[in-house]
Amino acid sequence: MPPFFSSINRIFVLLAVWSALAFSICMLLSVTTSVLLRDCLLLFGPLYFLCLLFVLPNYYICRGLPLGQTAWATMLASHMLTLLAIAAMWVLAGRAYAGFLDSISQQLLFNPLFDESLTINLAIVVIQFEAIVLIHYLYFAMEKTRDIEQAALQQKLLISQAELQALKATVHPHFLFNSLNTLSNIALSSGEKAHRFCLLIAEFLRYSVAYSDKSTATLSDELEHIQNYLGIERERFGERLQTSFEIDDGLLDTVVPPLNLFPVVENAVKHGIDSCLEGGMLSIVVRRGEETLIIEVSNPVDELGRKLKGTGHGLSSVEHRLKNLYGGQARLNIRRETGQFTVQIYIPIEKEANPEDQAE
Amino acid sequence: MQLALEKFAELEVIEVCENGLQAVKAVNELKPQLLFLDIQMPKLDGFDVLELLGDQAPFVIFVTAYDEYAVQAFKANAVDYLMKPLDPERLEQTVQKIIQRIATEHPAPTSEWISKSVRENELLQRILVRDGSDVHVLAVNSVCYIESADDYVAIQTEDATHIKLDRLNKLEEKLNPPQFCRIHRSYILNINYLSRIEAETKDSKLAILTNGKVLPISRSGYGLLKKLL
Repeated sequence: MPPFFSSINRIFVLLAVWSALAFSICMLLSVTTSVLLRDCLLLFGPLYFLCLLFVLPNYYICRGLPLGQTAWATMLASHMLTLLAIAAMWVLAGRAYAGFLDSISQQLLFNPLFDESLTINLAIVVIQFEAIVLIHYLYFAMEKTRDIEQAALQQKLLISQAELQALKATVHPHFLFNSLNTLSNIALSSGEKAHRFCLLIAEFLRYSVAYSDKSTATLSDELEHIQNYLGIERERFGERLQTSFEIDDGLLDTVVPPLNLFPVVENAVKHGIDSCLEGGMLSIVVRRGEETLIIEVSNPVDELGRKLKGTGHGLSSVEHRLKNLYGGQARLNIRRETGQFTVQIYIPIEKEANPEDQAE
Repeated sequence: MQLALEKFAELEVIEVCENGLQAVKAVNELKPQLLFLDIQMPKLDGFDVLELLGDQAPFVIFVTAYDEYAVQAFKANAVDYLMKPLDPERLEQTVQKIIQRIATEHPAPTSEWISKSVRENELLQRILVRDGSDVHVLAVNSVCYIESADDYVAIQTEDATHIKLDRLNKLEEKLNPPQFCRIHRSYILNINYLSRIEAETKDSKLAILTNGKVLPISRSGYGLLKKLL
């Protein structure tokens, strides 16, 4: 749909501007040719609107020949041809109309007037044509920018949704209920132990809340968060939850997205360690690859254990988030072997932590 | 839990179990009157324990920290349950109620409502079999075929036969159709173990399994099998 016809308001604006234009040109012509303004308006008023009708359909030509994708020669030639055709049609129509007016008024006024001002009028037709072409191309450019902005907005929305999901996963009610139950058990036996347990939970929740709207954390922040989580679960699992950490030297200050590791570790505990009667070893290994950080979380899993109803969002939301943040540069691998489940996360290493984020 | 229960003069805690396997064993050996049963446990959850105990199941009070599906099922079936952390008042009420019931009633069979309201629409991934106090968990993929024998079914795996109190019709409903086929009134076959089909006479066919075992195929069974293959 041509932009001028997409709303009633636009049609009115166009007609108003065009009327003003036609009126001022007629005034000019009446001064230069010393013909009455009334006669000028009578002849040229309708003709200028006819010109508008001829010129507007070039919207379709402009759309067919988008800027930047069409060779200049092709574009120039097409528009010139159209312009020639329009000018010719306009002159023919103008002559006929002027003749018609002369025959009605029984005088020889309009035809000479038309001929006399032909040069200037042709110039005006050309200017009108070009103005409209220009407006159409501007409109297309604006539309393109708007599309790009919309896509960017959509992308942003997706990212924040993924982040919200990550946060939701962080404070899953299941985990809270289990922790509360553990706490109530501890409280019966030892007040001091219960106090320490509360501190762990507070620390854990504080990090989850504080980092849910930040874009970066350091690896050591993330690992401390994981340690807090495992500290809470250790109270519930006792001997069944064994853990090992193996971190390559010099990686602790590496910048990573916050709250990305937790869903993976929680998954390992919930569907791995907890599926095994005797529990097992949850191991976290962080290595430096070539310009990538490789985090590997592995755990035993009992293939015949009862499958817990999971939301199924945990790992896929982590993967989604990595993709949003790093595009193809980050990835998440899942490896299933008999009795063992391993998740590997590859994140590109950024050199320095962003000082702004640290100052916050 | 144990501490809370010891406060009741009417109750004597005779055993505390770490997981479902131990629970099945302990109930089988000690024959308690009342069982406080957690839902979330590794390997065997609370419902699995009841399924395995079958008729031997005593009165049960379910205990759960967070399981909305289970709680819905409890409510729908008026089953006794407690939420963790335990509320002493709630515990008191529930225990008094159950003590009265123990005096006057027999434990109601639970397996029916478990399979109807808890395990609804769930295809079997594994089959639980009890042999006295021992529990076997069989992956359905490792089951070659299942044969019916009166009230029992004989489940044949690659290396053993397990007997279970169950009906073939009920198992058939819960086994994944493309993999398991009712080839005969008395047999369900895992078609991954089917080697070939031989014609015995014009009307009767035989299934030859990969381990050489021969099973009969009924006419309707042959129809089903042909559709699957």
